[in-house]
Amino acid sequence: MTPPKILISSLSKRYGATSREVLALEAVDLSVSEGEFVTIVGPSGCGKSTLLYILGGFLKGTGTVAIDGRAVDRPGLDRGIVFQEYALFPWLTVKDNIGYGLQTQNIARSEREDIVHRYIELIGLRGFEQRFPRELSGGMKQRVALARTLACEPEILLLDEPFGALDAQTREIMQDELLRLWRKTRKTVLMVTHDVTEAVYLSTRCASCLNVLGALFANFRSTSIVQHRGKKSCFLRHSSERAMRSGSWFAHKS
Amino acid sequence: MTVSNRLRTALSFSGPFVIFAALWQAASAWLAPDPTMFPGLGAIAYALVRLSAGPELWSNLGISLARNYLGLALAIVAGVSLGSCMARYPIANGFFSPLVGATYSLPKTALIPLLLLWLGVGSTTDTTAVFLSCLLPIVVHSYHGAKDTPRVLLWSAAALGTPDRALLPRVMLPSSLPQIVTGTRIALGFSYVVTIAAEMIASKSGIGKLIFVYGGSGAYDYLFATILVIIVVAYLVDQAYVRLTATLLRWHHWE
Amino acid sequence: MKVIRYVVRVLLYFYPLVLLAIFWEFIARSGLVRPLFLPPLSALPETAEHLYREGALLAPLAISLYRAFAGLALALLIGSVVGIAMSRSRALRWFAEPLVAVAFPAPKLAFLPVFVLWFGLGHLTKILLVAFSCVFPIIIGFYNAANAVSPVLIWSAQSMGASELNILRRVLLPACVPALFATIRINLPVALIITFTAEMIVGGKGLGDDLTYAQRMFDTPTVYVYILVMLAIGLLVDNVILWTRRRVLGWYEENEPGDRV
Repeated sequence: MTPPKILISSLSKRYGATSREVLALEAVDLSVSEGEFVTIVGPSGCGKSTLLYILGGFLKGTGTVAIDGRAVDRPGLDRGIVFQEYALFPWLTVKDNIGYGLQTQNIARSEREDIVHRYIELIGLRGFEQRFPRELSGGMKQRVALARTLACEPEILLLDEPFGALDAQTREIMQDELLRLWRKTRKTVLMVTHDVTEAVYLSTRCASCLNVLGALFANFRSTSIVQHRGKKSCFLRHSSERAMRSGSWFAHKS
Repeated sequence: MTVSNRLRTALSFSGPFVIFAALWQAASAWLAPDPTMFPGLGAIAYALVRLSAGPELWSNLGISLARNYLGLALAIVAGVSLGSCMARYPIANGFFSPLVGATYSLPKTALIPLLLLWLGVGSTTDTTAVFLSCLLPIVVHSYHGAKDTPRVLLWSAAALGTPDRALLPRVMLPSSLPQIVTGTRIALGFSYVVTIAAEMIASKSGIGKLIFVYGGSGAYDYLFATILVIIVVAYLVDQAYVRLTATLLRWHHWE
Repeated sequence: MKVIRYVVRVLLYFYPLVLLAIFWEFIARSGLVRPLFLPPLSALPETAEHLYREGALLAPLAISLYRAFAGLALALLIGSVVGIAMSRSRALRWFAEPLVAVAFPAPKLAFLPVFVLWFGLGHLTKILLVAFSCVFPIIIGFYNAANAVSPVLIWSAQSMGASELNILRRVLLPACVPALFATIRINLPVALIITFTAEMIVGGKGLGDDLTYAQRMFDTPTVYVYILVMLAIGLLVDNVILWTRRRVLGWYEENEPGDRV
C-alpha cells in the first residue's frame, strides 16, 4: 500500500519559553492522498496556519510529518506555498517574480522566459510583465503569487488563507480560477481558510479545527456542487455545514 | 511639467533666497560700520568670482570631497555587510550589538585627536574619521531593514529553492534597501561635518582648513564665499542622491 | 546570590566588551604597541582620579554640557515654534521651506569661523552654533508632527469655534509631544558633538578644548579618559531621555532606528 502523499501523525507545537508556553497544536493527525484538495477550516488562532507552516518546513514541531514517506524538515521546491499577504518580492517585476523559482533552479533563460510567458497567459496578466507588485491590485497580486508557485511545478500546493485579503467579488473569481488551475494540474492541495463556504466549495475534503487548541477532528466529505438559478451553491448532506458552523459535528463517510 | 510650470516652481523656490539676500544686504549696510565683519553681497560675489578663477578653492574642495566620499563608500560597504549579517546571524548580533550600543553615544569627532596620535596629520586620518562616523548609522539602518524583512518573503524564497546562505543577499538586502538608502543619506549629511572638523583641527589641505585660514587671516569675504560654495555643493549632492536613489527604489511602496 | 546571577548575566551579554577590555590590557602590557598609542586600560582609572582631583574633569564637562543644553534648548524653542507655525501658515511655509531644505544638508560646522568672528571664543559662539546646527532638523520634525495631525481633528475644533490659539494648545501641541522626544533624542548627540568639536577647534575651555590640549601634549591616558567620559555622558543622557519618555508616554510604542540594536 502506497503511503499517503501527506501524513501527519501526533503533531504538536509549542511556542514560547517554558514558563509562558502556548500550545498551538496538540497531537494532530491528518492524512492526504495524492490529488486531493483538502481544506482546513477554523477560527483564527486555532493553529491551522501553524500546521501548514510545519508542513512547509518553516517551523518545527514534535511528531511525524512525512511527504511520500520521507520526513519533512526544511522548505523545498516540492511544496509550493501561497500566503495571504501575497509575499511577492516587491523589488522584482511580475515577470521576475514568476520566474524566481525557475532561476534558483538554474533553468536556462530562454526556457525560463517560455514558462513565465505561459503562466502569464494562464493567469491573464498579459501586458503586466514589467510592472512592479505595488502597481497591482490584490487579485492580480494573488494571481502572480499563484503563478510563481505553480511555475516550479511543486507536488503539493499549500495555501494559507490566500483569498482572505480580497474583496468578496474578487474572492469568488479567484476561487473559480483556483479550481480551474487545480483541475488542469491535479496537484495535491492543502488549503487553510476561515471561510466555511469557501472550504466546502473548493475542496474534496474538509477538516475542521473546532477546539481552540487546534486538535483536528473528523473530516467531512462535501457533496455535489449544485447549479441553482445560475448561482453556484453547495449543499452538504445532513446539515454538516451548519454543524461545522455551530461547533457540533459528526463524521460522515459516503 | 511644462516649461512655464517649471519656471514658476523655480521662481517660487528662489523667492525666499532673494528676500534673504536682501535682508543680508540691509544688515550688512546697517549693522556693521566695519564692513569686513559682515561683508555685503557685492564683496562676497567678487570674492566668489576670484576664487572660482583660481585653483585654491577647487583643489581643496576636490581633496575634501575625495576623502569624504571615500570614507563614506567604505562605511557603506562595511556597514551594510555588518548590519545585515547581524540581522541574519544571531551570533554576529550577540557579538556586535553591545559594541554598537556602546559606541553609539560617542561623539565620533572626539576620535579625531586619537586618530591624529596614531596616524598623524593627513588624508588617512580624515578618511578614517569619516569612515568611523558614518559606519554606525548605516549599520543600524541596515540591521533594522534586514530584520524587518517580512518572514513570508524569506519563507517564499526558501520554498522556491533559495539556499539558506543566499537568503541574505537575495532577499534581505533588496528588502532593506529603503532603510539603507535612508541611513546613507543621514551618514552623508554627517560626513561633511566630520571632514570639516578633521580639517579644521589639523590638516594641511582641504576646504575645512581653507575656511579656517580665511577666518584666521581676516579674509571674511573669501570666508563667506567659500561657505556659500559648501552649502550649494552639499545641497546639490543631496538632491542628486535623492533622485538617483528614487530610481533605485522605484518599486517601493511608500506608506 | 541573585545579585551575582544578575551580574554574571550582564557580563555574559556584554561579553564582547569584556573581551575587548581584556584584549586591550593584554596588547598594551605586552609591549607590542607603544604606550603612547595605547596605554593600559588599568591605568585609566588612576588618570581619571588624578584629573578629577585636579578639577580637570568635572569643570570642563559642566561647561560643555551647559553649552550643549543651552544651544539645544534655544533650537527647540525656535524650531518648535517655526515648525508648528509652518504647518498652519502657507506664507511662512513658502518662505521657510526652501531655506530649510537648502540649509539642512549643509555642514553647519563650516560656520564656526563666522561665529567666532561675530561672537568671540567663549560660550556664546558654541551655544549659537549648536542652536544653528540643531534648529533645522527640529523645524522639520515639528512641522511633520503638526502636519500628521489629522485635518479632521482641526476642522472639528474649528467648527466648534476654537480660536487659533486653542487649536494650537489642545490639538497640535499634544500631538507634538512624541515628536519632542524624538527630536531631542536625535539632536542631543548632535548638540554634544558640535559643542565638543567647536571646543576642539577653537578652544575656549570645555572638554573638547582639554582633549585637544592633552593630545598636543601627547598625554595619551588623559585623551582616552576624556573620550570615555564623553561616551559615558552620551550613554547617560540617552538613557535618561528614554526613561523620561517611558514615564511620560508609557503607551507610546515606537521603535526608532536608534534604539538598542
